[in-house]
Amino acid sequence: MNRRIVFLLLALIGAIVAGTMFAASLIAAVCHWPDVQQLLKWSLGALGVCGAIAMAAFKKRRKNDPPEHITGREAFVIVSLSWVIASVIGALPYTGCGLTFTDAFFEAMSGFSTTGASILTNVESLSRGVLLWRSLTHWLGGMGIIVLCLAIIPFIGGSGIELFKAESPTPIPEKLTPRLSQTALYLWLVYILLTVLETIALKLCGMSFYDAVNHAFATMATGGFSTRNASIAAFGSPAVEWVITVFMFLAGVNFTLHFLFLRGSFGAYFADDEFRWYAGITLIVTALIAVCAAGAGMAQPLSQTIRHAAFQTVTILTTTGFGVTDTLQWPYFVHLILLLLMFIGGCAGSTGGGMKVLRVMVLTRSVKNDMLRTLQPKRVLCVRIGGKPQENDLVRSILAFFVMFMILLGVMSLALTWLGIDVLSSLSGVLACLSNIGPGLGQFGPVSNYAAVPTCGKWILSFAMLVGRLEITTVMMLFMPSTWRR
Amino acid sequence: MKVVIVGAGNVGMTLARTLSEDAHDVVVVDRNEDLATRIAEELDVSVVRGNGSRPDVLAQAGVVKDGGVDVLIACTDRDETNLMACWLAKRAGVPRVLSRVRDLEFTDTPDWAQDLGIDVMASPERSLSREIASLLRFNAAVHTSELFNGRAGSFAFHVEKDSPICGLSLRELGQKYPQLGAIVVYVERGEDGFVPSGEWTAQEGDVCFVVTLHERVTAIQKLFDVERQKRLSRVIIVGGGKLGTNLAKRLCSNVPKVETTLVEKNLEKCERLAREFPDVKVINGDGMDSDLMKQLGVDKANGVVAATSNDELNVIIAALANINENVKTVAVVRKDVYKELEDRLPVDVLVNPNRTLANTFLRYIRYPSSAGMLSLIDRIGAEMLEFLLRPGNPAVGRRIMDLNLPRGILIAVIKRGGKYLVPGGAETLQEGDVISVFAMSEKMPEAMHFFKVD
Repeated sequence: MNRRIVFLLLALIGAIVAGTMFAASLIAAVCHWPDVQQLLKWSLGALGVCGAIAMAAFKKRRKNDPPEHITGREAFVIVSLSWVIASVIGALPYTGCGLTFTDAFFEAMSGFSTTGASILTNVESLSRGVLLWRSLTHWLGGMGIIVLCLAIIPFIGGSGIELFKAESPTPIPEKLTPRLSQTALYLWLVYILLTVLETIALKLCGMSFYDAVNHAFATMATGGFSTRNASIAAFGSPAVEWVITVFMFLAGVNFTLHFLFLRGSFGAYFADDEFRWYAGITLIVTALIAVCAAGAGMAQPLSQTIRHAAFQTVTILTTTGFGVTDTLQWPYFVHLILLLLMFIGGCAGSTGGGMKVLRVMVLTRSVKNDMLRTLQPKRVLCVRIGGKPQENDLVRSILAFFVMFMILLGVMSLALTWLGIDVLSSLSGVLACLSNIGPGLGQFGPVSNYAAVPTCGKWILSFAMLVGRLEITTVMMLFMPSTWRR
Repeated sequence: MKVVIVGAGNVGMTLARTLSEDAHDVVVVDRNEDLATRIAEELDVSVVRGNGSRPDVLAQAGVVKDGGVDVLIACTDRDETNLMACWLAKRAGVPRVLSRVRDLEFTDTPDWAQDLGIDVMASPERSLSREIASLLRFNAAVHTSELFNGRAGSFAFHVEKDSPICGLSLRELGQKYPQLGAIVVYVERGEDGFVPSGEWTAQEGDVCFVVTLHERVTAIQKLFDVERQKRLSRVIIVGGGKLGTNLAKRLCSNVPKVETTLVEKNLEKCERLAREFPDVKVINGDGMDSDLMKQLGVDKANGVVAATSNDELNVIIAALANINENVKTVAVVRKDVYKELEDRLPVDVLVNPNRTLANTFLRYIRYPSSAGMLSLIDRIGAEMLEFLLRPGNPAVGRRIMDLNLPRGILIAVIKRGGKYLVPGGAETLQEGDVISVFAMSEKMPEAMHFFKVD
């Protein structure tokens, strides 16, 4: 393995994260928030250390060395570790707010992985600068730190494709343009555009500019951190809830489709197989929840029932995890349907987590084919996505993903029950972290949080978030001895 | 004429035999020693041994500047050899070159032939799959061939016992069904065959060759055979070669709601087919496996096509599937010997791609400068020629009944503007009409002379 390039890139990525924090501290300075010093101190410190390592790694390059090249092995290491390093740097400001390092790291990892699981019992007690940083970690992690690097670090160039593959949340990474750096840039531009649009929409609905920006960051990244203890419910505004529902839905769509749409092919959304499934699931589940909740005779107007049903469906399906009401007060049917939704997640290539609609779709079709083959053993079939035939390798890798997902879910839930947490909470909590959602069921419900989990459990859940964000394989490669062989 | 034939396979043999019987000078080029020797012994042609894509071999066959060769036909089973031979011939100044192509995309548009400077590029799989598809669709028909690119065609039907036209003369038929839009061009009764006159009366067991427009076929079919009138719903094709896949593709895209099953032995080929054709049920198996065929519902199928590369297998598969009245069985055969067995095998239709190809080439050589398209009704030795009525043609402006057409020559279809019609005797021919004339092969020169087509 080319250690030099690993160090160089990790240091550069750390510097980018620290640089963002520095930008946040500048904003805090301009607005005279009280936590300027705290942010400034840590960001400059991290920037200095990362810069020094990067310089050292850069200088070590001898003149006759072959040009930089990143193979699959380096990519897995760089991508996995970069997320850990980002979380370590991101955790620094929280330590100043009286959190232990475990709690701070949990919160930062939850931010970068766009999970939105929190150990803070009183969010509103944090100062504004730190809260802004908390939302920013979402926003950086949503589109991906590596994607950002590909867009702005010039020398990675063509060999960045391995990095792109290792980070992108899809079984079928695709380039929008012939050049990877261009693709990365376009993805970020679409992301920024949607964030700006949502900020404006929220502002028009009566939110303060500060809240609007924070919630736009958290929505577009499908994160789920709010600036209020009661999350979205705190605003008590149907308009805000609808706006956030719509943008969560958009954030859960493959960004390639947004790009195609902006480039002028307006039919791109419904021409996409996965999008039709995604929209279909959203509509059907919303209807089911609304009917069930209305039938259970909950004392609230119908419009509110529908709004909350849509919000809950989208917030779980896209793995955002905002709260608008305590769903644990709803009928059991709703609990279970939300738990099942947690497995699915957003579309491939969106900022959402989970297994992705695409994988569920391919698995369903592959199962259907298997049943047809049971009926007629000699039949030859293939799985199609949008009419395009797919290689059997794709189905196999998705099956492998599914099995790994289930094994990790089982093992980590077991570990949590060992620590004395009840079955439903353990399962739903690990699932909520693995799928990057945030709130689960039981003691991790939408109005409670992860503060009560023992230290060891917090590290397990942090690991679940990292594994979930990088779609399992990338991180698991670190545990394969052959990755580290020189 | 001096004709060079490259490739002495089934097609080359048929061509060499027929052309030498037609009194042309034929040179056959083939690199297979045994085949070459056999041809030299059996036929009155000269033989050159060697690879037909090499200039020196072709030079031996006379393909050189001023070598006097009029036509070169390349019909080996390799596209590269065929195209190379054609190119060399064109370069040596052979006026007309004809090539067989196996890859269907070359015949998707006429542009390829034009670009490559080849006069005729033919792949029998395409026209044959079209023919089989229409045989399956109009399941009472025992023969079909196309006119005007499929807009019209000739179809042969048996007159069944309960047919409403049984006992009617041709004249009465015309009075009873004035809007029929069809013309009976030929009748087979027992061993005899003839072009019917108005007094001919339909009898049970007659085979009528009817020319009609495509949209009228279903209605016509009802007149001959009431019972077999069923929508095509399940077709089983055995053999995933070019013909089989082309047929499956055509059925899926042209016939609504048909369930097409394709049985192929080779797993890799199956996987490729399953990827390419989402609507076709691809089965990896053997068509001779009767358990498998039963499982696939062969007893409920109304079309079974055996299109593997083995003639004998095809005949047996088709015969095995021929278990009830409702199924139409088609076997693809390439050897000429099956022509003699046609009426004795328990198979509804035998089709021969090599014959189709040989016929295409023969047609072109026999009527090289004819202005129109010629279709062969091979079974009865008749031909149909399409041509344009130019200004000044003596037939223009006259009614068909006033033309005094020689007996046995019929005007079957007229294309006027974008419309097609089957004319009655009172129809007046107009300038710019494209007409399709039916005649027995031996009468076709007379017909061409009559209409001043050369």
